[in-house]
Amino acid sequence: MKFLSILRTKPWLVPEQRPELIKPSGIRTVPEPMIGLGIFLIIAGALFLLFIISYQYRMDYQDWQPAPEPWQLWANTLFLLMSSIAFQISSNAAIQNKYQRAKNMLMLAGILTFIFLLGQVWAWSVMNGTGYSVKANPANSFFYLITGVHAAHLMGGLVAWLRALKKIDRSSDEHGIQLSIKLCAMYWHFFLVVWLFLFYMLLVT
Amino acid sequence: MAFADQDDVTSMHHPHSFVSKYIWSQDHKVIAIQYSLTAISVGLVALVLSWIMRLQIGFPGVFDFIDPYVYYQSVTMHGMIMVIYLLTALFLGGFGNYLIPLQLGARDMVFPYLNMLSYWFYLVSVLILLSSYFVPGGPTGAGWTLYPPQAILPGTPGTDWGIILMLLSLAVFIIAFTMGGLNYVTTIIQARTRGMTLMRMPLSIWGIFVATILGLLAFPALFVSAIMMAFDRILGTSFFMPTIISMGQQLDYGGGSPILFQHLFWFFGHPEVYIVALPAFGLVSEVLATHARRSIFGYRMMVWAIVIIGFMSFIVWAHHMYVSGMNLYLGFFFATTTLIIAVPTALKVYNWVLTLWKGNIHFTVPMMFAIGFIFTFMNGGMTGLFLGNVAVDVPLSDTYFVVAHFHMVMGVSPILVVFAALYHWYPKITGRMYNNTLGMIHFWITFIGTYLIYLPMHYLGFEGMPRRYYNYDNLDFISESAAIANASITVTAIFVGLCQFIFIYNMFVSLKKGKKATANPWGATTLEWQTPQTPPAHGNWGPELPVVYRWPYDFSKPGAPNDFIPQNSDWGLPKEEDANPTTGKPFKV
Repeated sequence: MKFLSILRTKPWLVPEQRPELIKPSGIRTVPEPMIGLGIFLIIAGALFLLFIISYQYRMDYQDWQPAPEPWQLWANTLFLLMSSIAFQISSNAAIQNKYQRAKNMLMLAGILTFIFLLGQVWAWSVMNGTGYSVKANPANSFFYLITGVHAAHLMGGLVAWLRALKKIDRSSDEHGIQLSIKLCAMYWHFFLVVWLFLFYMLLVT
Repeated sequence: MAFADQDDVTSMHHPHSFVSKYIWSQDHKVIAIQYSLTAISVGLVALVLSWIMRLQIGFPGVFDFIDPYVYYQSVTMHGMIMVIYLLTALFLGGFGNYLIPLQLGARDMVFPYLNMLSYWFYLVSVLILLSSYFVPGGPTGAGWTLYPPQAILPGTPGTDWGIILMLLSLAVFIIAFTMGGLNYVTTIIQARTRGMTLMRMPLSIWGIFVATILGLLAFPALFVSAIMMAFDRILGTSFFMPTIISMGQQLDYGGGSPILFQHLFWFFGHPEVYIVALPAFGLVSEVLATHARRSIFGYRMMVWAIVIIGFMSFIVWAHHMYVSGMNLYLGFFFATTTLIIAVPTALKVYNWVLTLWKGNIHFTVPMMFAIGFIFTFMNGGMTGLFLGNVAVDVPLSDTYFVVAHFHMVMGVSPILVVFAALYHWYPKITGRMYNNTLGMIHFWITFIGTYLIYLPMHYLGFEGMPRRYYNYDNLDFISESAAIANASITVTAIFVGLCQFIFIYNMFVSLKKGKKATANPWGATTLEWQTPQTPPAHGNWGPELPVVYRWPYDFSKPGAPNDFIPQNSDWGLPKEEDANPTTGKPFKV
């Protein structure tokens, strides 16, 4: 709504409240990297939404056979959930200036994510071994594809995680460290939600 | 040099070596020039490919080296390069990078390192694409639309490696575009200087802004379809591949849907054409207003039109699929939305014309190209109305009528805007003036020439001459005169194409020999013309960021000392001391 009222202003007139004369109030606005990450997550969301729409489209065909769900997927879900929690604890600790705790939690979060990724590879190899290969039927194809894209995004996130670790070790810029960890947490929460949604779709179809 | 400004949110980097200043540069101006030079170079490659196509169509059988494979590869690479690697990269990577910080009063983009990465990823994507000429089988010949199942089946050129490289190149480009797009959107939202409200932004920024948002939401659809097609080709999955027999053998595919690809592709493909068109609309508005010494007519409506076109571009995509066998009522829905989107577009055309009405028109080279844009866009847009209606589209689909239409709206009009914008901003970017005579010659040959190329093509389409055919040997319904038309189109196309080198020559030679330009030779109001140095130096603004007091179209105001008032001038406004610093409201006297 605010955007619509912005579009209704008449910029050729001198406004009563002249924007150029308003001194910056010093209230902290959203930092740019957070806006950048937010927009990126919207794009990633659009990507996964399109995959899911394609999945739904294909599911409507009569020859649909659902893919199996190895137990490893449940365990992986747990590890991803724990890594999200670890990121959040780390972020809270950093904001309270408890940097040792923040660093420990950050390392734990990354390790849990590695375990998740390894677990995904394990789940794939189990499925492949029991004959549900990537090309065997379309449900499988989508399963490997969508979990693969999800895993690829987490691997990218691990690059950011490494940078956050490096910052917490070497940098003395408090705001920078807090922001890095907060952004990692935001990213991981998003991909946890994406994973939960995908897993749910896999279970009910 | 320390820039300690409270409003200064961009992170500054201070390069010292040649390599960090001009190669691994994080300065948006250098990145913009890198993007532009790369895009124009690869565009010239695509121009030559168009000559190969035209030689075959105009003079079939004369050139032995053009066999069906070469022909279809040229068709595909020409299309893909021009739409994505030239137009999208040039408008957003080139003009977007250059103009956004300058027109908003920022020192640079908010993520300069990411900006630099986006260029190098773009270059890598171009190199991957061109490398498909050097692999066994050559580039893909599936058409720029890459429709499965043919795209990955033998019979189509490039199914060994070409299609894989094409899909990989597109994926890398999309990553590059995402990095760039994040920069443009975040900079526009966060890094505007004091007084630069959204509604005081020039229309060029609005066009680039909305186009970037479209791109960020639409490119994922292409990414999804590229990954799925790559899986089909490499891993043998059947996302798009139905049960099919190829070369007499039943293949291992089954259950896939080629129509799914078409939906995904065009869900990207239609916003893509607006990603090209909207920055063009914005840039041409700047050129028209400046060279007619008039405010753009109906600025608010122009902004609304850009936003509405952007939003609606997501609900028209299946007008590219009327002949795919879809339900006619679905076709009717998309025809309706397609015709509705023509309304804000036409509104913009009326406003451009009304901007010129009673204006003090300076017939400079940029203005000539801008007026040429209005003519050609109107023609191209009107043929779009034919194609937007289902019943009329059925006989015209996949004929040269469609080719003529999309070349007019995508190939001629935006390219005329590119030329207008490059001539218009040349003095600011290089500090020199181009050669005016050469510019005028370039304009007239291009403008008249492109009409001579594409006007006859519409009639060929009416005749039913199909597109993407290597030859027309056994098609009796095509008349004898079509051959004459094709030959004349070919000759004209090659002549007009060669004349573009007049422009290239002008751009490069004027760098050294052009007259030194003043800071603001056109008397423009927008901020980029008010920089302390021309070309703008590192950091753009010197020690202090500019403050914006007005909108960008205060031309020919009665009582003003000049026929333009720059955005950072407070002429005619109450003095600062007379206002409340918290609210900006004037103190009551």
